[in-house]
Amino acid sequence: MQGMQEQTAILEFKGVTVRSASSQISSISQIDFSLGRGEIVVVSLEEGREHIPLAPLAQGLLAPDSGSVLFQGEDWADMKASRQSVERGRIRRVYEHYGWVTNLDVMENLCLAECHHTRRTKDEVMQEVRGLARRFGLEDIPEARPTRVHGMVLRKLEWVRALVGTPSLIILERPLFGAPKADAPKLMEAVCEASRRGVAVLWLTEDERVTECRSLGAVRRFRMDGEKLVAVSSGRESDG
Amino acid sequence: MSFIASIGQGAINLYHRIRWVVSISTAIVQLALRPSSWTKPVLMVLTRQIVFTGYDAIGFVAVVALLTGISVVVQAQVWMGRLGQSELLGPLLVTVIVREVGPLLVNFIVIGRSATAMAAELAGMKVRHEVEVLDSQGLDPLVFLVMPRAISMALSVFGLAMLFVVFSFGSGYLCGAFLGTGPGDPGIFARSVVRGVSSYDFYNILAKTLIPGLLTGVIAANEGLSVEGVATDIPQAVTRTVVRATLAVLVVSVIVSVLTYI
Repeated sequence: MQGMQEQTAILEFKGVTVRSASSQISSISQIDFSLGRGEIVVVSLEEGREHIPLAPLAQGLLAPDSGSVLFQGEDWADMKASRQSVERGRIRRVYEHYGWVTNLDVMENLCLAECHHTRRTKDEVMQEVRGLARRFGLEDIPEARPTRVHGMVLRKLEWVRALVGTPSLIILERPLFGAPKADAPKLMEAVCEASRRGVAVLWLTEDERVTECRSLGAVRRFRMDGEKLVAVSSGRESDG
Repeated sequence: MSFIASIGQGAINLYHRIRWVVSISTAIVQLALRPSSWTKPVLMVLTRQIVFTGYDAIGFVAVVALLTGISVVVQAQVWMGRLGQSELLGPLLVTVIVREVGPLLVNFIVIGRSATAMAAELAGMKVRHEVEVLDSQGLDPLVFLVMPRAISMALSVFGLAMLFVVFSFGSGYLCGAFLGTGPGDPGIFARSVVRGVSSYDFYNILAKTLIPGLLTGVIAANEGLSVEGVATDIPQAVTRTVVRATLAVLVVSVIVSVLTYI
Protein backbone atom coordinates (compact mmCIF):
# COMPACT_ATOMS: atom_id res chain seq x y z
CA MET A 1 0.00 0.00 0.00
CA GLN A 2 2.80 2.37 0.91
CA GLY A 3 4.56 1.48 -2.35
CA MET A 4 1.41 2.28 -4.29
CA GLN A 5 1.15 5.66 -2.60
CA GLU A 6 4.74 6.47 -3.48
CA GLN A 7 4.07 5.63 -7.14
CA THR A 8 1.05 7.93 -7.37
CA ALA A 9 1.99 11.00 -9.38
CA ILE A 10 1.88 14.25 -7.47
CA LEU A 11 0.59 16.06 -10.53
CA GLU A 12 -0.85 14.67 -13.73
CA PHE A 13 -2.14 16.44 -16.82
CA LYS A 14 -4.28 14.19 -19.05
CA GLY A 15 -5.12 15.61 -22.47
CA VAL A 16 -5.67 19.08 -21.06
CA THR A 17 -6.99 21.70 -23.44
CA VAL A 18 -7.86 25.30 -22.59
CA ARG A 19 -9.42 27.55 -25.18
CA SER A 20 -8.55 31.10 -24.31
CA ALA A 21 -11.46 33.35 -23.53
CA SER A 22 -9.49 36.29 -22.17
CA SER A 23 -6.23 38.18 -22.46
CA GLN A 24 -5.21 36.69 -19.12
CA ILE A 25 -5.10 33.12 -20.41
CA SER A 26 -3.23 31.65 -23.39
CA SER A 27 -4.69 28.65 -25.15
CA ILE A 28 -3.08 25.26 -24.68
CA SER A 29 -3.94 22.00 -26.38
CA GLN A 30 -3.72 18.32 -25.44
CA ILE A 31 -1.17 18.71 -22.66
CA ASP A 32 0.00 15.41 -21.16
CA PHE A 33 2.62 14.95 -18.51
CA SER A 34 3.02 13.69 -15.00
CA LEU A 35 5.22 14.70 -12.13
CA GLY A 36 6.24 12.26 -9.43
CA ARG A 37 7.69 12.73 -5.95
CA GLY A 38 11.11 14.33 -6.10
CA GLU A 39 10.88 15.00 -9.83
CA ILE A 40 11.55 18.30 -11.53
CA VAL A 41 9.79 19.17 -14.77
CA VAL A 42 11.20 22.18 -16.58
CA VAL A 43 8.96 23.74 -19.22
CA SER A 44 10.69 26.20 -21.53
CA LEU A 45 8.52 29.05 -22.69
CA GLU A 46 9.00 31.20 -25.72
CA GLU A 47 10.25 34.63 -24.81
CA GLY A 48 7.41 37.07 -24.29
CA ARG A 49 4.75 34.35 -24.25
CA GLU A 50 2.83 34.93 -21.05
CA HIS A 51 -0.22 33.60 -19.28
CA ILE A 52 0.38 29.93 -20.07
CA PRO A 53 -2.18 28.56 -17.60
CA LEU A 54 -0.23 25.53 -16.37
CA ALA A 55 0.03 26.84 -12.79
CA PRO A 56 -3.66 27.69 -12.29
CA LEU A 57 -4.58 24.35 -13.89
CA ALA A 58 -2.15 22.49 -11.62
CA GLN A 59 -3.75 24.16 -8.60
CA GLY A 60 -7.31 23.52 -9.69
CA LEU A 61 -7.98 27.24 -10.00
CA LEU A 62 -8.86 26.90 -13.67
CA ALA A 63 -11.01 24.10 -15.08
CA PRO A 64 -9.80 22.76 -18.44
CA ASP A 65 -12.17 22.78 -21.41
CA SER A 66 -11.29 19.14 -21.92
CA GLY A 67 -9.03 16.64 -20.21
CA SER A 68 -8.31 16.45 -16.52
CA VAL A 69 -5.74 17.55 -13.97
CA LEU A 70 -5.02 15.22 -11.07
CA PHE A 71 -3.29 16.24 -7.86
CA GLN A 72 -2.00 13.34 -5.80
CA GLY A 73 -4.17 10.99 -7.84
CA GLU A 74 -7.41 12.90 -7.51
CA ASP A 75 -9.09 15.04 -10.15
CA TRP A 76 -9.53 18.65 -9.01
CA ALA A 77 -12.98 18.58 -10.61
CA ASP A 78 -14.08 15.80 -8.24
CA MET A 79 -13.03 17.60 -5.05
CA LYS A 80 -15.31 19.75 -2.91
CA ALA A 81 -14.24 23.38 -2.47
CA SER A 82 -13.12 22.82 1.12
CA ARG A 83 -11.01 19.84 0.06
CA GLN A 84 -9.49 21.86 -2.79
CA SER A 85 -8.37 24.49 -0.28
CA VAL A 86 -6.71 21.86 1.90
CA GLU A 87 -4.93 20.35 -1.12
CA ARG A 88 -3.78 23.76 -2.36
CA GLY A 89 -2.18 24.18 1.04
CA ARG A 90 0.30 21.48 -0.05
CA ILE A 91 1.36 23.53 -3.07
CA ARG A 92 3.71 26.50 -3.07
CA ARG A 93 4.08 28.85 -5.99
CA VAL A 94 6.23 31.66 -7.31
CA TYR A 95 3.90 33.77 -9.41
CA GLU A 96 4.55 35.00 -12.92
CA HIS A 97 3.18 38.37 -11.89
CA TYR A 98 2.63 40.06 -8.54
CA GLY A 99 1.91 37.46 -5.89
CA TRP A 100 1.39 39.41 -2.69
CA VAL A 101 -1.51 40.46 -0.49
CA THR A 102 -1.02 44.17 0.01
CA ASN A 103 -3.02 44.60 3.22
CA LEU A 104 -0.67 42.22 5.04
CA ASP A 105 2.97 42.98 5.72
CA VAL A 106 5.73 40.99 4.08
CA MET A 107 6.31 38.61 6.99
CA GLU A 108 2.60 37.92 7.35
CA ASN A 109 2.50 37.11 3.64
CA LEU A 110 5.44 34.76 4.01
CA CYS A 111 3.93 32.89 6.98
CA LEU A 112 0.31 32.95 5.83
CA ALA A 113 -0.13 29.56 4.16
CA GLU A 114 2.04 27.69 6.67
CA CYS A 115 0.23 29.21 9.67
CA HIS A 116 -3.17 28.52 8.09
CA HIS A 117 -2.60 24.91 7.12
CA THR A 118 -0.35 23.62 9.90
CA ARG A 119 -0.20 23.79 13.68
CA ARG A 120 3.24 25.38 13.63
CA THR A 121 3.60 28.56 15.65
CA LYS A 122 4.22 31.82 13.86
CA ASP A 123 7.58 32.17 15.63
CA GLU A 124 8.66 28.78 14.34
CA VAL A 125 7.64 29.65 10.77
CA MET A 126 9.30 33.07 11.01
CA GLN A 127 12.51 31.42 12.11
CA GLU A 128 12.46 29.15 9.06
CA VAL A 129 11.63 32.11 6.83
CA ARG A 130 14.59 34.10 8.16
CA GLY A 131 16.91 31.13 7.64
CA LEU A 132 15.79 30.70 4.04
CA ALA A 133 16.01 34.44 3.39
CA ARG A 134 19.64 34.52 4.62
CA ARG A 135 20.37 31.74 2.17
CA PHE A 136 19.36 34.09 -0.64
CA GLY A 137 21.37 36.97 0.76
CA LEU A 138 18.57 38.71 2.65
CA GLU A 139 19.70 39.40 6.19
CA ASP A 140 16.44 41.05 7.28
CA ILE A 141 12.83 40.64 6.27
CA PRO A 142 11.40 44.12 5.56
CA GLU A 143 8.84 45.18 8.17
CA ALA A 144 6.57 46.79 5.61
CA ARG A 145 3.73 46.15 3.23
CA PRO A 146 4.85 44.53 -0.06
CA THR A 147 4.14 47.72 -2.02
CA ARG A 148 6.95 49.44 -0.04
CA VAL A 149 9.53 46.78 -0.84
CA HIS A 150 11.82 46.67 -3.87
CA GLY A 151 10.74 44.22 -6.58
CA MET A 152 14.05 42.37 -6.54
CA VAL A 153 13.75 41.71 -2.81
CA LEU A 154 10.14 40.64 -3.23
CA ARG A 155 11.12 38.20 -5.95
CA LYS A 156 13.67 36.51 -3.69
CA LEU A 157 11.15 36.50 -0.86
CA GLU A 158 8.76 34.66 -3.18
CA TRP A 159 11.43 31.96 -3.46
CA VAL A 160 11.52 31.86 0.34
CA ARG A 161 7.74 31.51 0.55
CA ALA A 162 7.79 28.69 -2.00
CA LEU A 163 10.31 26.73 0.06
CA VAL A 164 8.80 27.19 3.54
CA GLY A 165 7.45 24.06 5.19
CA THR A 166 7.01 20.68 3.55
CA PRO A 167 4.95 21.14 0.39
CA SER A 168 4.20 18.28 -2.02
CA LEU A 169 4.56 20.47 -5.07
CA ILE A 170 6.36 23.71 -5.87
CA ILE A 171 5.36 25.65 -8.98
CA LEU A 172 7.87 28.20 -10.19
CA GLU A 173 6.54 30.56 -12.85
CA ARG A 174 9.50 32.46 -14.31
CA PRO A 175 11.06 32.73 -10.83
CA LEU A 176 14.26 34.35 -12.12
CA PHE A 177 12.43 37.22 -13.77
CA GLY A 178 13.47 40.40 -11.98
CA ALA A 179 16.00 38.61 -9.78
CA PRO A 180 19.76 39.15 -9.76
CA LYS A 181 21.58 36.72 -12.06
CA ALA A 182 24.05 35.91 -9.33
CA ASP A 183 21.31 34.41 -7.20
CA ALA A 184 20.04 31.95 -9.82
CA PRO A 185 22.40 29.12 -8.71
CA LYS A 186 21.21 29.59 -5.11
CA LEU A 187 17.62 29.04 -6.18
CA MET A 188 18.54 26.02 -8.28
CA GLU A 189 20.46 24.53 -5.38
CA ALA A 190 17.53 25.11 -3.01
CA VAL A 191 15.12 23.55 -5.51
CA CYS A 192 17.39 20.51 -5.90
CA GLU A 193 17.46 20.09 -2.14
CA ALA A 194 13.68 20.28 -2.00
CA SER A 195 13.38 17.67 -4.76
CA ARG A 196 15.76 15.37 -2.87
CA ARG A 197 13.36 15.65 0.07
CA GLY A 198 10.62 14.35 -2.26
CA VAL A 199 9.03 17.63 -3.35
CA ALA A 200 7.82 17.67 -6.96
CA VAL A 201 8.77 20.81 -8.88
CA LEU A 202 7.14 22.33 -11.96
CA TRP A 203 9.45 25.05 -13.29
CA LEU A 204 8.21 27.31 -16.09
CA THR A 205 10.96 29.40 -17.57
CA GLU A 206 12.28 31.21 -20.59
CA ASP A 207 15.68 31.53 -18.95
CA GLU A 208 18.54 29.63 -20.58
CA ARG A 209 20.25 29.24 -17.22
CA VAL A 210 17.52 26.81 -16.29
CA THR A 211 16.92 25.13 -19.62
CA GLU A 212 20.61 24.38 -20.05
CA CYS A 213 21.44 23.75 -16.41
CA ARG A 214 22.57 20.16 -15.89
CA SER A 215 23.04 20.42 -12.17
CA LEU A 216 19.34 20.11 -11.37
CA GLY A 217 18.38 16.71 -9.93
CA ALA A 218 15.96 14.22 -11.51
CA VAL A 219 14.66 16.44 -14.25
CA ARG A 220 12.55 16.15 -17.38
CA ARG A 221 12.44 18.95 -19.87
CA PHE A 222 9.63 20.12 -22.11
CA ARG A 223 9.02 23.17 -24.21
CA MET A 224 5.84 24.92 -25.23
CA ASP A 225 5.58 24.76 -29.00
CA GLY A 226 2.61 26.97 -29.78
CA GLU A 227 -0.24 25.41 -27.83
CA LYS A 228 1.45 22.02 -27.48
CA LEU A 229 3.86 20.70 -24.89
CA VAL A 230 6.78 18.90 -26.51
CA ALA A 231 9.25 16.69 -24.67
CA VAL A 232 12.84 17.88 -25.04
CA SER A 233 14.39 15.13 -22.98
CA SER A 234 12.17 12.22 -22.21
CA GLY A 235 14.72 10.43 -20.07
CA ARG A 236 15.64 11.43 -16.56
CA GLU A 237 18.78 13.40 -16.05
CA SER A 238 20.61 13.32 -12.82
CA ASP A 239 23.62 14.97 -11.39
CA GLY A 240 24.34 11.61 -9.82
CA MET B 1 -45.40 44.70 -21.97
CA SER B 2 -41.75 45.66 -21.70
CA PHE B 3 -42.59 47.79 -18.64
CA ILE B 4 -44.26 44.84 -16.92
CA ALA B 5 -41.43 42.59 -18.02
CA SER B 6 -38.87 44.95 -16.52
CA ILE B 7 -40.77 45.00 -13.21
CA GLY B 8 -40.88 41.21 -13.25
CA GLN B 9 -37.19 41.00 -14.09
CA GLY B 10 -36.39 43.42 -11.29
CA ALA B 11 -38.37 41.31 -8.84
CA ILE B 12 -36.59 38.15 -9.98
CA ASN B 13 -33.20 39.85 -9.63
CA LEU B 14 -34.11 41.11 -6.16
CA TYR B 15 -35.21 37.61 -5.15
CA HIS B 16 -31.92 36.13 -6.39
CA ARG B 17 -29.88 38.79 -4.55
CA ILE B 18 -31.75 38.21 -1.29
CA ARG B 19 -31.42 34.45 -1.64
CA TRP B 20 -27.68 34.83 -2.33
CA VAL B 21 -27.07 37.08 0.69
CA VAL B 22 -29.11 34.81 2.97
CA SER B 23 -27.34 31.66 1.76
CA ILE B 24 -23.87 33.25 2.18
CA SER B 25 -24.85 34.50 5.65
CA THR B 26 -26.02 31.02 6.61
CA ALA B 27 -22.80 29.50 5.29
CA ILE B 28 -20.78 32.03 7.27
CA VAL B 29 -22.60 31.22 10.51
CA GLN B 30 -22.03 27.50 9.88
CA LEU B 31 -18.35 28.13 9.18
CA ALA B 32 -18.00 30.33 12.26
CA LEU B 33 -19.42 27.57 14.46
CA ARG B 34 -16.73 25.17 13.22
CA PRO B 35 -13.60 25.52 15.39
CA SER B 36 -11.35 24.36 12.52
CA SER B 37 -12.25 27.54 10.59
CA TRP B 38 -10.52 29.70 13.18
CA THR B 39 -6.90 29.30 12.18
CA LYS B 40 -4.32 31.83 13.36
CA PRO B 41 -4.49 33.99 10.20
CA VAL B 42 -8.32 34.02 10.31
CA LEU B 43 -8.27 35.08 13.98
CA MET B 44 -5.79 37.81 13.03
CA VAL B 45 -8.22 39.16 10.41
CA LEU B 46 -11.10 38.99 12.93
CA THR B 47 -9.12 40.90 15.55
CA ARG B 48 -8.05 43.61 13.13
CA GLN B 49 -11.56 44.04 11.83
CA ILE B 50 -13.01 44.32 15.34
CA VAL B 51 -10.40 46.96 16.15
CA PHE B 52 -11.27 48.90 13.00
CA THR B 53 -15.06 48.48 13.04
CA GLY B 54 -15.65 48.42 16.79
CA TYR B 55 -12.85 49.91 18.83
CA ASP B 56 -11.89 52.72 16.45
CA ALA B 57 -15.54 53.76 16.12
CA ILE B 58 -16.13 54.17 19.86
CA GLY B 59 -15.29 57.88 19.85
CA PHE B 60 -17.64 58.76 17.03
CA VAL B 61 -20.45 56.56 18.35
CA ALA B 62 -20.01 58.14 21.80
CA VAL B 63 -20.39 61.65 20.35
CA VAL B 64 -23.51 60.67 18.38
CA ALA B 65 -24.92 58.93 21.48
CA LEU B 66 -24.28 61.97 23.66
CA LEU B 67 -26.04 64.28 21.22
CA THR B 68 -28.92 61.85 20.71
CA GLY B 69 -29.28 61.43 24.46
CA ILE B 70 -29.48 65.16 24.99
CA SER B 71 -32.10 65.71 22.33
CA VAL B 72 -34.26 62.63 22.90
CA VAL B 73 -34.04 62.07 26.65
CA VAL B 74 -34.43 65.73 27.58
CA GLN B 75 -37.44 66.15 25.28
CA ALA B 76 -38.98 62.98 26.67
CA GLN B 77 -38.46 64.22 30.22
CA VAL B 78 -40.02 67.58 29.47
CA TRP B 79 -43.07 66.24 27.61
CA MET B 80 -43.79 63.36 29.95
CA GLY B 81 -43.56 65.80 32.86
CA ARG B 82 -46.00 68.21 31.20
CA LEU B 83 -48.42 65.40 30.43
CA GLY B 84 -48.15 64.15 33.97
CA GLN B 85 -46.93 60.77 32.77
CA SER B 86 -43.45 60.80 34.30
CA GLU B 87 -43.80 57.14 35.27
CA LEU B 88 -43.87 56.29 31.55
CA LEU B 89 -40.49 57.94 30.95
CA GLY B 90 -38.56 54.67 31.30
CA PRO B 91 -40.67 52.58 28.90
CA LEU B 92 -40.72 55.44 26.39
CA LEU B 93 -36.94 55.87 26.46
CA VAL B 94 -36.38 52.13 26.18
CA THR B 95 -38.71 52.01 23.19
CA VAL B 96 -37.08 54.93 21.43
CA ILE B 97 -33.40 54.49 22.30
CA VAL B 98 -32.94 50.77 22.95
CA ARG B 99 -35.36 49.35 20.42
CA GLU B 100 -35.13 51.80 17.56
CA VAL B 101 -32.73 54.74 17.48
CA GLY B 102 -29.69 53.08 19.03
CA PRO B 103 -29.45 50.00 16.79
CA LEU B 104 -30.44 51.97 13.67
CA LEU B 105 -27.93 54.77 14.14
CA VAL B 106 -25.11 52.39 15.02
CA ASN B 107 -25.88 50.27 11.96
CA PHE B 108 -25.83 53.37 9.76
CA ILE B 109 -22.55 54.52 11.31
CA VAL B 110 -20.97 51.12 10.68
CA ILE B 111 -22.22 51.09 7.08
CA GLY B 112 -20.79 54.55 6.40
CA ARG B 113 -17.57 54.04 8.25
CA SER B 114 -16.64 50.38 7.84
CA ALA B 115 -18.78 48.62 5.22
CA THR B 116 -17.72 51.13 2.57
CA ALA B 117 -14.07 50.65 3.50
CA MET B 118 -14.50 46.88 3.44
CA ALA B 119 -16.14 46.90 0.02
CA ALA B 120 -13.38 49.12 -1.39
CA GLU B 121 -10.64 47.01 0.21
CA LEU B 122 -11.99 43.72 -1.13
CA ALA B 123 -12.71 45.21 -4.55
CA GLY B 124 -9.10 46.45 -4.67
CA MET B 125 -7.88 42.98 -3.77
CA LYS B 126 -10.00 41.49 -6.53
CA VAL B 127 -8.69 43.98 -9.09
CA ARG B 128 -5.07 43.28 -8.10
CA HIS B 129 -5.69 39.49 -8.31
CA GLU B 130 -4.86 39.15 -4.62
CA VAL B 131 -7.93 37.00 -4.02
CA GLU B 132 -6.48 34.52 -6.50
CA VAL B 133 -3.16 34.66 -4.65
CA LEU B 134 -4.96 33.72 -1.43
CA ASP B 135 -7.01 31.03 -3.13
CA SER B 136 -3.89 29.52 -4.68
CA GLN B 137 -2.37 29.22 -1.20
CA GLY B 138 -5.39 27.28 -0.01
CA LEU B 139 -6.98 30.19 1.83
CA ASP B 140 -10.65 30.01 0.88
CA PRO B 141 -11.81 33.63 0.35
CA LEU B 142 -15.08 32.85 2.15
CA VAL B 143 -13.17 31.64 5.22
CA PHE B 144 -10.30 34.11 5.20
CA LEU B 145 -11.86 37.27 3.77
CA VAL B 146 -15.62 37.19 4.25
CA MET B 147 -16.31 35.22 7.44
CA PRO B 148 -14.09 37.12 9.92
CA ARG B 149 -15.16 40.47 8.48
CA ALA B 150 -18.89 39.69 8.64
CA ILE B 151 -18.64 38.20 12.14
CA SER B 152 -16.60 41.13 13.40
CA MET B 153 -19.14 43.52 11.94
CA ALA B 154 -22.00 41.74 13.74
CA LEU B 155 -20.14 41.74 17.07
CA SER B 156 -19.02 45.34 16.64
CA VAL B 157 -22.53 46.60 15.88
CA PHE B 158 -23.83 44.83 19.00
CA GLY B 159 -21.06 46.21 21.22
CA LEU B 160 -21.39 49.73 19.83
CA ALA B 161 -25.19 49.66 20.23
CA MET B 162 -24.84 48.75 23.92
CA LEU B 163 -22.37 51.57 24.33
CA PHE B 164 -24.72 53.91 22.49
CA VAL B 165 -27.59 53.10 24.86
CA VAL B 166 -25.48 53.70 27.98
CA PHE B 167 -23.96 56.93 26.65
CA SER B 168 -27.25 58.39 25.44
CA PHE B 169 -29.08 57.63 28.69
CA GLY B 170 -26.16 59.04 30.66
CA SER B 171 -25.93 62.23 28.64
CA GLY B 172 -29.71 62.66 28.62
CA TYR B 173 -29.93 62.31 32.37
CA LEU B 174 -27.03 64.70 33.01
CA CYS B 175 -28.39 67.28 30.61
CA GLY B 176 -31.88 66.98 32.14
CA ALA B 177 -30.43 67.39 35.61
CA PHE B 178 -28.44 70.42 34.48
CA LEU B 179 -31.49 72.08 32.89
CA GLY B 180 -33.77 71.08 35.74
CA THR B 181 -36.14 69.13 33.48
CA GLY B 182 -35.30 65.62 34.71
CA PRO B 183 -36.17 63.69 37.85
CA GLY B 184 -33.00 64.90 39.57
CA ASP B 185 -32.35 61.76 41.58
CA PRO B 186 -30.31 59.39 39.37
CA GLY B 187 -31.83 56.44 41.24
CA ILE B 188 -35.34 57.42 40.14
CA PHE B 189 -34.18 57.83 36.55
CA ALA B 190 -32.33 54.48 36.56
CA ARG B 191 -35.28 52.64 38.14
CA SER B 192 -37.64 54.20 35.61
CA VAL B 193 -35.48 52.97 32.74
CA VAL B 194 -34.93 49.51 34.24
CA ARG B 195 -38.69 49.12 34.79
CA GLY B 196 -39.20 49.83 31.12
CA VAL B 197 -36.86 47.02 30.04
CA SER B 198 -38.35 43.60 29.33
CA SER B 199 -36.74 40.37 28.16
CA TYR B 200 -38.06 41.16 24.68
CA ASP B 201 -35.83 44.21 24.57
CA PHE B 202 -32.79 42.01 25.01
CA TYR B 203 -33.81 39.79 22.07
CA ASN B 204 -34.80 42.90 20.15
CA ILE B 205 -31.43 44.57 20.42
CA LEU B 206 -29.64 41.29 19.71
CA ALA B 207 -31.71 40.79 16.55
CA LYS B 208 -31.36 44.41 15.44
CA THR B 209 -27.59 44.44 15.79
CA LEU B 210 -26.23 40.95 15.11
CA ILE B 211 -28.39 40.19 12.05
CA PRO B 212 -28.02 43.54 10.25
CA GLY B 213 -24.32 43.63 11.18
CA LEU B 214 -23.80 40.22 9.62
CA LEU B 215 -25.85 41.14 6.55
CA THR B 216 -23.92 44.40 6.15
CA GLY B 217 -20.64 42.49 6.24
CA VAL B 218 -21.88 39.95 3.71
CA ILE B 219 -23.27 42.64 1.39
CA ALA B 220 -20.04 44.68 1.56
CA ALA B 221 -17.92 41.59 0.90
CA ASN B 222 -20.18 40.43 -1.90
CA GLU B 223 -20.20 43.82 -3.63
CA GLY B 224 -16.42 44.16 -3.23
CA LEU B 225 -15.61 40.71 -4.52
CA SER B 226 -18.02 40.99 -7.45
CA VAL B 227 -15.85 43.65 -9.10
CA GLU B 228 -14.29 42.11 -12.18
CA GLY B 229 -10.79 43.36 -12.76
CA VAL B 230 -11.46 47.06 -13.38
CA ALA B 231 -10.52 49.67 -10.76
CA THR B 232 -13.13 52.11 -12.03
CA ASP B 233 -15.85 49.71 -10.81
CA ILE B 234 -14.76 50.11 -7.18
CA PRO B 235 -16.73 53.32 -6.42
CA GLN B 236 -19.89 51.74 -7.84
CA ALA B 237 -19.39 48.70 -5.61
CA VAL B 238 -19.09 51.03 -2.60
CA THR B 239 -22.27 52.88 -3.57
CA ARG B 240 -24.18 49.63 -4.02
CA THR B 241 -22.95 48.53 -0.60
CA VAL B 242 -24.37 51.64 1.08
CA VAL B 243 -27.73 51.37 -0.66
CA ARG B 244 -28.22 47.64 -0.20
CA ALA B 245 -26.90 47.47 3.37
CA THR B 246 -29.09 50.41 4.40
CA LEU B 247 -32.13 48.69 2.90
CA ALA B 248 -31.23 45.43 4.62
CA VAL B 249 -30.87 47.18 7.99
CA LEU B 250 -34.23 48.91 7.62
CA VAL B 251 -36.04 45.76 6.49
CA VAL B 252 -34.62 43.70 9.37
CA SER B 253 -35.42 46.51 11.81
CA VAL B 254 -39.03 46.71 10.67
CA ILE B 255 -39.50 42.94 10.75
CA VAL B 256 -38.03 42.67 14.27
CA SER B 257 -40.11 45.62 15.49
CA VAL B 258 -43.31 44.10 14.14
CA LEU B 259 -42.46 40.72 15.66
CA THR B 260 -41.74 42.42 18.99
CA TYR B 261 -45.16 44.04 19.17
CA ILE B 262 -47.39 41.22 17.89
